[in-house]
Amino acid sequence: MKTALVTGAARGIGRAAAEALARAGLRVIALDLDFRDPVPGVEPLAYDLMDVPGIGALVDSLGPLDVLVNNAGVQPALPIDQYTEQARRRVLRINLEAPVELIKAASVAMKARRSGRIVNLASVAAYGAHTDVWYAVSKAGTVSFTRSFAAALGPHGIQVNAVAPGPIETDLLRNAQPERIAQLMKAVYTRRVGRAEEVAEAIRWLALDAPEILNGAVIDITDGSFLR
Amino acid sequence: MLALDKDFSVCTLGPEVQRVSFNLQNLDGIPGLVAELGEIDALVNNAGVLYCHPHDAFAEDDALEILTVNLRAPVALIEAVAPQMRRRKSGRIINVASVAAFTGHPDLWYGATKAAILNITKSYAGYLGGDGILVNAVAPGPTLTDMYERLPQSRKDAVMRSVYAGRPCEPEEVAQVIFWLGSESPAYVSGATMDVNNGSYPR
Repeated sequence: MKTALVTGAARGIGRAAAEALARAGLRVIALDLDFRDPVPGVEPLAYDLMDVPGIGALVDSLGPLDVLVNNAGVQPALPIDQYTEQARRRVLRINLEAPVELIKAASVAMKARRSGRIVNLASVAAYGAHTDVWYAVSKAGTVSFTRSFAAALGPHGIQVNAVAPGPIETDLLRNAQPERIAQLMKAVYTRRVGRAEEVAEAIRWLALDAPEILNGAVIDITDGSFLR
Repeated sequence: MLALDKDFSVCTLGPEVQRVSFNLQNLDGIPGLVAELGEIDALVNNAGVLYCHPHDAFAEDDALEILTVNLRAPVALIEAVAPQMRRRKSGRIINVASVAAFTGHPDLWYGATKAAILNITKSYAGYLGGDGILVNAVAPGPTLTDMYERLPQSRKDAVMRSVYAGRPCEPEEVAQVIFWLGSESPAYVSGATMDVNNGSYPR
């Protein structure tokens, strides 16, 4: 049985991805700060990804992973002149440093087995102007490290891809700046926001069914809200 | 499953696939053809031609053939299937572009049509999206097809230097991406281009 680790799996896209992978027959380890509302059929793992130095030991304790979904992310949704040092550190730690450390740790066993699939959560925030500068920086960085690790790990049989969702019905969208949401929704073909389950299907496909040649790719899940 | 081509003499498709012999240079015949085929839930615009003539000595007829088959025929096919898809409020259209859309290409007109097909994908995703029709593209990198064999060796060498996997793409791998876009991909994926180039052009 394949094992997957999904971060930020208590709610939203991470939860839907954990459920989709569990339905597909994987053993799913669901990492989050806490699980007030447990996800059925998955193993909860309480961990604060602000503790980046602890990630190596954490991953070692889980045994070899077949699939890593770097979903955990925060968006302070602050204008740049109101950004606190704490908010900036948090967004860069959780959205950038933690996934890189997770890939570094998980890829050791993947390399040894010449097999593994990593899916990173980018965002359309990576591509255009954004009202939350550090969030956008972190997502542009996610596209960047997806490519870097695809190049570094591809020759070892490991696939590293990303999804870039537009507006998706999650807590993160509910907390986003209204002008940002309005900006995105203007161009959406169907005038609706996406569902977490839709992003989860793209994650599931990348984690299980996508052809081996697909590496370093980013799937835009935007319904027109950003065209690239 | 309907398979359209102008020539099936070397075709290995099984009997479950219905063959439709048609030359896509016959743009005027496309509406009538589609009308005969019944309900179409998914349209895959895959047909394409490439010559690799030098840019300063491109035969007019060949340039026209590329523009017709690679660009005008896909548009005519989309126009022909769109009304029935609109009535059903459902349909999936997948256009096969190429990494050439981004990089330029030894065949000037091939590259130009592949860039245009991405634009057409976005336009139709907008025109038809409100009626529940998804329009996406795949942009494969170099793939082991007859077309690949026609590429200059210099381009094949450049490909091999740039891919992570150390091999070109298999046609079946592009097909897997098309299959997902034609069946289970989420509705929020529309107007998108799926890069299948294994690092040869990260964009």
